[in-house]
Amino acid sequence: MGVAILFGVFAILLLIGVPVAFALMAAALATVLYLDLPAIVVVQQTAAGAGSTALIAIPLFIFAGEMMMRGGISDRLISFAAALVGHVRGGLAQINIVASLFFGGVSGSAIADVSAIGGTMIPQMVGRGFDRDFAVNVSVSAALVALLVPPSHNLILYSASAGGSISIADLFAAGILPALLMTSVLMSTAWILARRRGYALEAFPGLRAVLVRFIAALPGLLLVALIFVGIRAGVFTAIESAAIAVVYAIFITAVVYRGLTWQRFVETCLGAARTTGVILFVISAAASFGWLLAYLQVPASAVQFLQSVADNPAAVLLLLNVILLILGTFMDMAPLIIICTPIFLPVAKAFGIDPVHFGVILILNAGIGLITPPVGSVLFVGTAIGRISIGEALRTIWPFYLAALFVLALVNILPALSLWLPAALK
Amino acid sequence: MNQAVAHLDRWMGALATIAISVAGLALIGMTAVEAWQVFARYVLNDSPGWTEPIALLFMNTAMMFGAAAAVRSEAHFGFFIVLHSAPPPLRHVMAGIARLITFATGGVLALWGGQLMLDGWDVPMAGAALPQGIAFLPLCLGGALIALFALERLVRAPLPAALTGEAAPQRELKPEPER
Repeated sequence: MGVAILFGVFAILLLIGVPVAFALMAAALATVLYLDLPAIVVVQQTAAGAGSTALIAIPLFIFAGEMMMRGGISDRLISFAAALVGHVRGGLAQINIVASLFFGGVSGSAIADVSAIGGTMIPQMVGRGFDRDFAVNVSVSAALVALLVPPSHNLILYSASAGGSISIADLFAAGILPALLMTSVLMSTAWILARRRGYALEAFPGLRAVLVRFIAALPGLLLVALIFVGIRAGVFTAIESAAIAVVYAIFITAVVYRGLTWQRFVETCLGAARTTGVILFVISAAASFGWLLAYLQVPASAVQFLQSVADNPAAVLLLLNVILLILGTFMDMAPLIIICTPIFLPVAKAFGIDPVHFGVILILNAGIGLITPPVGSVLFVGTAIGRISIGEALRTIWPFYLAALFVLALVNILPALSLWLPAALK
Repeated sequence: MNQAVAHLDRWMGALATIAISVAGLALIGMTAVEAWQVFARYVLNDSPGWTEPIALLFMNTAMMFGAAAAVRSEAHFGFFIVLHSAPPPLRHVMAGIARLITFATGGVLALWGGQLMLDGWDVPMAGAALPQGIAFLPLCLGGALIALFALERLVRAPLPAALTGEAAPQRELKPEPER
């Protein structure tokens, strides 16, 4: 009955329109009162949820990413990507995808990616004769890559939701090959569509231009190398590398690129503070919900249930993917990770699925949810930038959905895609 | 009446600006503390013990004040499809219930957060020369602000921001003027 109250109240409040964080806390309060437990435990657990030191890296990476987004790095990354792949069929679409990979490595956020790269590339693509729906669909799909490359704060969120037991360095390394695979598959999709629609390509600017633009983009690109190598080599902790990332981002954008004015700095702080508030508050509110899940032995029941309906890891993985994809269409990324990790990770572990592998699968599923309606924040931002309706984008987005699902299937079937690099770098 | 509403709007807007500014300053403070931690550890070879609890205090301040400001701009994550498709009278009722729940949750955080703060005020914090209870201060103050902003939305009863397009989680990375 306690489980029914916990999930029932949460679902009803969510449907009414109560924000996720408040619905989680209210459901926890109702359940605690039903179970005759001291109600203050909800506030204690909420405070404990916000007391985890592992979380400190998240707002710092958000801050650094926002700084890079507003400080002029995206223009240089786009320019470098243009020199590299502008001459490939689909020209600006290929530039868009490769620039998203580079920027994802700097920001670690899909929304920041589509705002920064899509904000620049979509108008340019439309100006060069690309259809608006194609420009939007390329941009929103390309933003998925940012979720997988370091310093993706969603991977840190997964680690924190798993109780901090999964190495962030392993997760960062695990996302790289799937991110590169996603980039290649999206580029191929764009190539086929561009050929069919007869889109233009850009002239190759020459090797000298490639080198010059690489040097201009290098300070930004070095950030991801600094973070990844620092954490991987055990020189810095994730928190320390996040702090270094912020200081470095301030230095690069303000001193080297001179793109960070005082007003932009203030906007950056306020934007990062709002994002931090929204994301961390869900994490904090979910702590009391998660505590009750454990108290009511929900993860153990989920394992038992799945063992009764499926008897091998492949079937369980398929089932988990379907559940996550469906949930992903309705829920935003952060709440999905926070709520699903404590329930589904024990299931994955019980069936011998590596937690790092499962983390990449979870992030990919939730990421696809970001570009699918009814709740698809990256899709919404992309269509707002492209000035088309969601319906117009959806009519032609299916090749990109297929591409993303193809990558998801490969990541599921081939654990080595996620697990080889972390093992090789140890 | 209209003048009173305009006054209330101005004051609440100013309070929301203060809240998000405090959250922004806390982020800067957190960066400074962690940057000092790195400097002290690698340059001075003397890792300070106070940085972790202070960084956590700053993080909780950024979280609670940022979350409170997001209550006023209604920028929290949510599932608004049913609200979107509901007929207008029902929509107002649903929005009212949602704000009431937000108000009650904020109140609970403020009250019990305050109690936890007072209970731990005489206990020294591990690692820093501060009372343990201060760790609950952001929860208490942020909870009070959440309740206040939710109450304002409840009393003024405008359509939810998710329906008017004034603010939405997906736009949180773009700067929005505090209303």
